[in-house]
Amino acid sequence: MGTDTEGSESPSAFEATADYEQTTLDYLQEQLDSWVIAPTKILWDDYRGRFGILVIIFYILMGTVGVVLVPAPETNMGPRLVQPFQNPQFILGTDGLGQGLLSLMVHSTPAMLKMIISGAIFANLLGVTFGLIAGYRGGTTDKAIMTFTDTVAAIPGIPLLIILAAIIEPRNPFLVGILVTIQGWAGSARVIRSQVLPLADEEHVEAAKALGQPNSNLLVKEILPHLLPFIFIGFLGRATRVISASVGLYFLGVLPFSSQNWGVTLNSAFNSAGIMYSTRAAHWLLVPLVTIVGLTLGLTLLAQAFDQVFNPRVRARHRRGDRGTRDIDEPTDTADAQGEVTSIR
Amino acid sequence: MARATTTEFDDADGETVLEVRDVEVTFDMARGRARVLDGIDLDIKRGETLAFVGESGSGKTMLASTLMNAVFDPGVATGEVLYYPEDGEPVDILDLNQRQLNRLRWEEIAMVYQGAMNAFNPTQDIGTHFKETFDAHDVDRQDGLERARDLLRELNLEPQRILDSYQHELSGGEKQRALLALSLVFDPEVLILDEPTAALDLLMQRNILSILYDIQERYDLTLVFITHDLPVVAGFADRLAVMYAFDIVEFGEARDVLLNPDHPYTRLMLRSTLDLTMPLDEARTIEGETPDPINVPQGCPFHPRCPAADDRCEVEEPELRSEQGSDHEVACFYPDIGRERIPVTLEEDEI
Amino acid sequence: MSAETDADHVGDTDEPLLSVENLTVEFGDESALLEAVPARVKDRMGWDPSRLRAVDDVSLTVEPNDVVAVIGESGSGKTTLGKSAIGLEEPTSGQVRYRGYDIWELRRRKQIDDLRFEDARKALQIVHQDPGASLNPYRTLMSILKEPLSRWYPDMSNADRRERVLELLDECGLTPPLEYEDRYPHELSGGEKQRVALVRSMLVEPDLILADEPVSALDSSLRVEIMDLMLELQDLFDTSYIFVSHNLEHARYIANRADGRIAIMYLGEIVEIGPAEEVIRNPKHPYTKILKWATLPKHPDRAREAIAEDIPLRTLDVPDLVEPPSGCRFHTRCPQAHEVCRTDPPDLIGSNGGHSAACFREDPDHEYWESPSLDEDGDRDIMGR
Repeated sequence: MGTDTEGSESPSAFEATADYEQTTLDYLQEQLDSWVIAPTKILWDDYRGRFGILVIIFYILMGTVGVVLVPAPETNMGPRLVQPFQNPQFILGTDGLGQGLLSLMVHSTPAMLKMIISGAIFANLLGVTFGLIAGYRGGTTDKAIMTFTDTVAAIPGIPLLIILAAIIEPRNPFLVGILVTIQGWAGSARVIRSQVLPLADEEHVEAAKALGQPNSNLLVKEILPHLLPFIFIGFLGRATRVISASVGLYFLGVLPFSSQNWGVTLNSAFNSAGIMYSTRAAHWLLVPLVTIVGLTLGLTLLAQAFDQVFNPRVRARHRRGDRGTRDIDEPTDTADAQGEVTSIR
Repeated sequence: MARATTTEFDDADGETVLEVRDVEVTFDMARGRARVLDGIDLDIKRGETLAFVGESGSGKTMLASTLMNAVFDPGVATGEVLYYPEDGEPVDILDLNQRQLNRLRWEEIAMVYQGAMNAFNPTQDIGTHFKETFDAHDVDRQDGLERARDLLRELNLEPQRILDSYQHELSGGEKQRALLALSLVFDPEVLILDEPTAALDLLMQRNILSILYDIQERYDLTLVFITHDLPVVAGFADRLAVMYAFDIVEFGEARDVLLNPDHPYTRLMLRSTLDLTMPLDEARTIEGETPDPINVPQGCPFHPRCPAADDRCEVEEPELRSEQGSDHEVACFYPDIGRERIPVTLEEDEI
Repeated sequence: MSAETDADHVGDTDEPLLSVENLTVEFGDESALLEAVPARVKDRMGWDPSRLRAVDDVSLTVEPNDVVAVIGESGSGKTTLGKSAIGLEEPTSGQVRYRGYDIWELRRRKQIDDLRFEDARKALQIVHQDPGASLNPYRTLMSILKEPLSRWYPDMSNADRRERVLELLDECGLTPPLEYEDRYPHELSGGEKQRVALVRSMLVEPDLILADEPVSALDSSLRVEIMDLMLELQDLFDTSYIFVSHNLEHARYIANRADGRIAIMYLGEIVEIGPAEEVIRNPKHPYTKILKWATLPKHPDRAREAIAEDIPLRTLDVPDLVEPPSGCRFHTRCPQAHEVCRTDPPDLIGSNGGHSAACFREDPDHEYWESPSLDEDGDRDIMGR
């Protein structure tokens, strides 16, 4: 073929530069939109996401603003065992020690939130890191990491927690959070690894390698996006587990009662005389239960809705929805239709 | 709407085995209603090899599924697919209940899906697949296995080795042949093949084609061959239907359609199909995009890409029709303009 | 021209662009633990896991602005050869040289003379068969295409990069580009995706692109388009291609139009190589002839004749790659094989740089002609020869 060997004359396309300035602000706005605004809108569109978001906001408000607005619980701040919805001062009633249940719930929330954050982040961090490295490196590294992971996972969970709790006697909620998920990361590590294994061989990863991208870039830009669903959903699942584990441990009396916790309230309610035999103290048990279940439900539904955020098809549809005026008969839809219809023989 | 009439095609063996009447398949998707088969009328003759040629998104696979009433949810098929068994009354396949369908499928009409090579359950050996099929059709296992062994032998396979193997132990060609044996084990009337050679190596492809050619004769089969790869059926098919945008745009004797293509799409397709003898500078791509099933262009669905199109093509949809007395049908208003503007040479002169 | 790299000045102008020398690539079947054990220990202990030799002592050169179509069936080693040539697969033995420099040594040492490993890496790119898999489904086109620019032109402003990507999208027919930049790969058709993959590799202005079955996953009407695009890009950038395919027709189209060569591979070896049109019209090796025979024509009469013929192979069984046949590897299936073919492996015979084939039949003085045929019925003709 005849070739133009006069130096190398690239066409203008390969030389193109912008004739406007994109300011840092524009760039940040772009990033914000893609990472925060769009996902939020997608979640909001889904009823589960909406519920989850509202629930989380509610609890966060409870743990921040609520703590200021609602008085701290004290024994004998009111008459004992006031029934809920009777007394406007104690809207949820009081417990057997005269403590307002609303106060108890609200003032337990900050600690719980701290536990959730530390626990979920810790578990996820460990799990993802180990899973990524094991899956990407393969070979001996993989086997070593997985052996360690499996060993940790195999240790009986509850006895371990009880023993550690008894030894360490953690009071700091952040520490409690970590303690409670000390084993939880092992499951995530396995899952992440099994996702990374086939990904490392994927063509787009190979193409990126050929383009000279360093390993760090490959991991973050090519492999991590596939893992985001697992990571986020894992995070939320971990959070629910922190709730139940901590509540359980407090309820069992294994963790020291330094701060308020819904489990502590449950414990008191349960151990208090008569709870099993009369309905007078029923609210003492129910209020913390509903509080616990409420947050767990909110997190779970949010996790389910999150799946949509990462799905590029949903993102694409969502984006098109935003632009409103786009017609249906655009080439984009061809591929979508073909993919959806003809790929399933 | 495509209509391929029965009466004009009079062969010595002109009996119809499958009659397709106004078959339409629609899918209601979030974005709208997709029509993936657009009112097809067709007769398939007993003992012939009928090839459907089209690209991805032309509807050919959907047509095959419809013949077996195997359109998956949420697709809905309307129309009739009449099957004429050798003895007995014709039945409308689209009307059968599940039990009747189960009997019809495999015993009368068998289908080899695209990528079916991987449809074998990896945890069961091939023999078990056969046995389960026999059980499902109330056939004695011993009798069935004997027949299976005969078939495998005819396909140049060692029967016992194949029956004992798991799918991962077999090569692509072996799997495809085992699958063929499985589909022939009840001696069906009709065999539908959807891209049977797509995933195979060149030599194995040729081999499978020869095998199909042989077994068609030996077992008196009617073959419905679906492919996007024209040369595969060029020498094999008796009749050829070219599909575009979920409809048949040209139909007739294979040789006639290939040597005297009338529809611009057929001509463009021939020109874009590479082979070893065509003049290289004649190879051209087809401009434009395949249509979206939700938004098929008005009028003739091919008009946006057609070098012979004019205003009429934008509003009116051409019917599939043929010239006097000919079996060659085409859905186009201006086949002569197409012929003029799209030169097609099937082979270069040898030097 | 932008981004002139040292790679452009490096090396002898006599050196071919890429040279594969006695390349052998083996894959082991062993567990990770066993892999860590040194080879001589394994030998001593008799631990011999089955090693698969995908490429066996292959040599090939590629010049600037060249096209070499490597054709073979599965198991021929063509993809492994391709990937080794561009440094994505490490050789077990032999060398791969870019402008004279061994690329694996270059990688270890990061730089030799004026050539940095980075520049060599940039010069050798790949386009995959399945465009759906070669584009990250979670990223928009803009993001995918900006990435190589960020990597290689860190001084470019973000706005400049974006503009360049837009121009490129426009250039390869994805117009209007503003509509495409936010799209995800799944929103494109197969042909569009492949164009994006091609453009992506071109962003770094490579010297050589390995095109691994780039059109096999596309509809036939699109194949010519993509191959034409490849040829256009070659004109613009003087890029060479190693075009791997199982399809002779594709090879003919692209190699012919670029005055390139076709190489035929069988079980890890190159059995024939020569100018494209030559190899197609006058194949020398029996395997090539059979491949040609197996490629069906469009013409219905020729096709019908062809289908009726028996396949001219002695057996359909494909030999095991782990234990390849002795002598000429094709002897188990070759309809023209003689005794000597079973014991002696043939080298590529033919005019240097021209058309050669690894078959004794090319040598009129070889003892092949005295040696008895392996087929009791004697040699069979393939396509009349």
